[in-house]
Amino acid sequence: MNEIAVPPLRRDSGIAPALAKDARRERSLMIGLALPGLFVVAAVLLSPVGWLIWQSLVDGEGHFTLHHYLSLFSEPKRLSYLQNTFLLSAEVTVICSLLAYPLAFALTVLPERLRKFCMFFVVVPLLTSVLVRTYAWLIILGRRGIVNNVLANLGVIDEPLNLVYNYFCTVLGMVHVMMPMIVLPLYAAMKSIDGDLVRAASSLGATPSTAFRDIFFPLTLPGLFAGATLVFVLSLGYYVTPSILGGGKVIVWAIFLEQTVSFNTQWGPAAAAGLLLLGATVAVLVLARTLVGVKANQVEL
Amino acid sequence: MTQSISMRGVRKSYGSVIALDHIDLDIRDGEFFTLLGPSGSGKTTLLMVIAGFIRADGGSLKFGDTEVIRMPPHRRDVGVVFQNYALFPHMDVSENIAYPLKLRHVPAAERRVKVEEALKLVRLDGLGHRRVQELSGGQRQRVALARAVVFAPKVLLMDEPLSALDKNLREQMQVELKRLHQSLKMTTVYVTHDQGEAIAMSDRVAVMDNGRIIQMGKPRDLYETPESRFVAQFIGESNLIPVSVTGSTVIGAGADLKVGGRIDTDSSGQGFLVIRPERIQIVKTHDGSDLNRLSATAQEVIYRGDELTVYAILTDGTEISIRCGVHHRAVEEICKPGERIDIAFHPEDSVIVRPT
Repeated sequence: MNEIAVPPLRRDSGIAPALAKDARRERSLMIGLALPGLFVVAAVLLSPVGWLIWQSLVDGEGHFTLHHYLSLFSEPKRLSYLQNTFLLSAEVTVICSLLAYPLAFALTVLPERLRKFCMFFVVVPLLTSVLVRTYAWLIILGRRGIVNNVLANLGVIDEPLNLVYNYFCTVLGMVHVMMPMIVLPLYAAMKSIDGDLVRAASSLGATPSTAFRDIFFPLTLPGLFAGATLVFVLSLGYYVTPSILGGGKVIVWAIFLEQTVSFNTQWGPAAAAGLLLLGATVAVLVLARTLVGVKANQVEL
Repeated sequence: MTQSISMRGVRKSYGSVIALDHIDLDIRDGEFFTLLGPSGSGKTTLLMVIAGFIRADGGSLKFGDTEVIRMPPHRRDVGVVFQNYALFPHMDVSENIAYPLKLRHVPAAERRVKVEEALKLVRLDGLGHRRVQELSGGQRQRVALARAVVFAPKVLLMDEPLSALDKNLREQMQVELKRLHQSLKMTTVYVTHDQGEAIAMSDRVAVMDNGRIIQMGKPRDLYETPESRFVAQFIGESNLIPVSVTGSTVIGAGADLKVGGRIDTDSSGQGFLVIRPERIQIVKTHDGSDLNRLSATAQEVIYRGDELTVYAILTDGTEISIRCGVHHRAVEEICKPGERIDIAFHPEDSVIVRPT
C-alpha cells in the first residue's frame, strides 16, 4: 500500500481564541448593520408615542392629570364616535370577508394566465392613491355622477338620488379600499392547501359541500383571520374615506381626533384620544393573535 | 366485500396530448394489481379515473357489475392512499381515521372500536391522539393506509405511496403492504414507477407507456419474457445485442446463436436479443456444452459489495454488463481491462424483441 504524505499537523495548535474572536467580530458586525434600522424605529415610532403619552398625562402647567382621559368619557357623544368606529370597521370587515372569500377561491382555480390578469386588478388599487380611489366614487355616485345621469336619461328618476355623503357610501368606499388587504392573505392560504386533501375527503365519502365544510374551510381560517384582522385594524384608524364620502354625517374616531386637534390649543385631549384608539387597536390585535395563534398552530405542517 | 374492476375503451386526452388511449383492463377481485410506467405514461391518470377524480372522455368502467364511469368520487366507495399521504392537518390520527366512518354515520362507540382495529392493523396502536405533524413519514403513511381501509371500501387505490420514504423504510413498507393485502384480500390497484417494487409486491403488473398498456402479466413473465424493447429496458437491467434472424438461424455479434424464448423481429428479420446481466457467465474457452458463446473485451470491473459488475464490449461493438457473485475472486484476475474474455449464456434465458 502507498503511504499518504501528510503535512505536519498539531491537534492543539492554540487556534481556539482566534476562532472565538472571529465569531465575536461577526456578531458585532451584524448588530452594527441593524443599528440604523433600530434608530429609525426609535426616532419615528417610539419617541412620538412616548411624547404623546407624556402630553396626554399633563395639563397646561405641566402637572400630572388624568383630566384628558376622563373628559373623553364625560360626554356620551364622544363615546358614540368610538362605537361608530368599531361598528363601521366590523361591518366593513364582514362585508370584505364575504366578498373576498369567493373571489380568492376563484383566483386559485382560474387558469394561470387568467389568474394573473385578475390578480392585477386585485393588486392595482394598492398602488393607487386612496384619495383617487375615494374621489372616483364621487364621480360615479355624485348628484351629477354617472349613475344619476344614466338613470335620469333612462327616465327612471326625475330628481338626482342622494347616493354619496352618507353611511352606505362610506361603507362602500371603505370596502373598496380594504379588499386587497383580505383577498391576498386568503388567496395565499387557499393556494397553499394541497388539492389532494379535498380529493381524499371525497374519496372517503364526503360530498363537495361536506368536504368544503370539514376540510377546506377550516384550513383557510388562519388566512381569513389574518386578512380580517388587517382590515379591521386599518379601518379603526381610517380618516380619508369617511371624511370625504361620509359628508360630515359619519363621525369616526379619526375624524373626531382631527377636530380635537384643530379646536384645541393643547395637545392633551387629542393625545388622549389617539392613545385610546391605539390601546383599543392593540387589544384587538392581541385578541385576534391568540385566536389565530391557536388555529394556525393546528394546521401548520 | 371488495369488487373486481373492468374497463373497456377508457380514454382521456388533454388537448392534443393523449393521456389514456382506449384502455381495456380486467382486475380480479382481491388481486394486487400494479400500474407500472415512467412519468407521463398515463398510470396516475388511469388511477385517478378509477377513483373518479378525473372524468374520462369515454369508455366503460365497472366495479363488479356496477357502471361507475359517471359516478362522483364520494359515491364510488374507494379507499385512496396518496403520494403525500393527504392527512387532514387539523385533525389528530384518530379523527383522520374516523372521518370516513363519521361520514357513513357509524355510531361513536363502534367508530372507536373500528379506529382501534385499524390502528392495530397498521401497527400504530396507542398513537391515536398524536397530531399528524408529530408523526414520521412512515407513520403518516400507515395512518393514510388505515384511513383508506377502515370503511371497507370496494377497492383500494395507491398512488406511489412509498416514493416519499427513504430506501430502507420503503423496503420494510413493501413487506407490510404485502402482508396487509394478504390479510384483507382487498382489490388493490397500485401505481409506481419503481419496477423493483412492482415485481416484489404484485400479483400482476401492467406496464404503461404513452397512455397505453404495453404488456401485462405476472412479474416473473414480464421479467423473463419481455415482449418489447421498452419492457426489457424498463423492467430490470438488460443487455440488448443486435441480431438478424433468417429462418431458424440467429446471427449476432459474429456468432450463430440459439434462442429458446420468444422470437419477434421486424419484417427484415432485424431484432435485439435480450439477455439479463446475471444470466451471463464468464467461461473458459474449452467448456463443452450447448451454451451460446461469445467473445468480448473486458473494460472494467466494479465492486458493489454484494456483487461484481463486469463491463465488456462484444466483437460487434455492443457494450454489455455481466453480474457475478463477489466470491468469484478469479473474475477480477481474468477481467483485467483490455483482456479478451469468453462469455456464455443459456438459450432458454434469452428472447428476441423488435428493434423499436
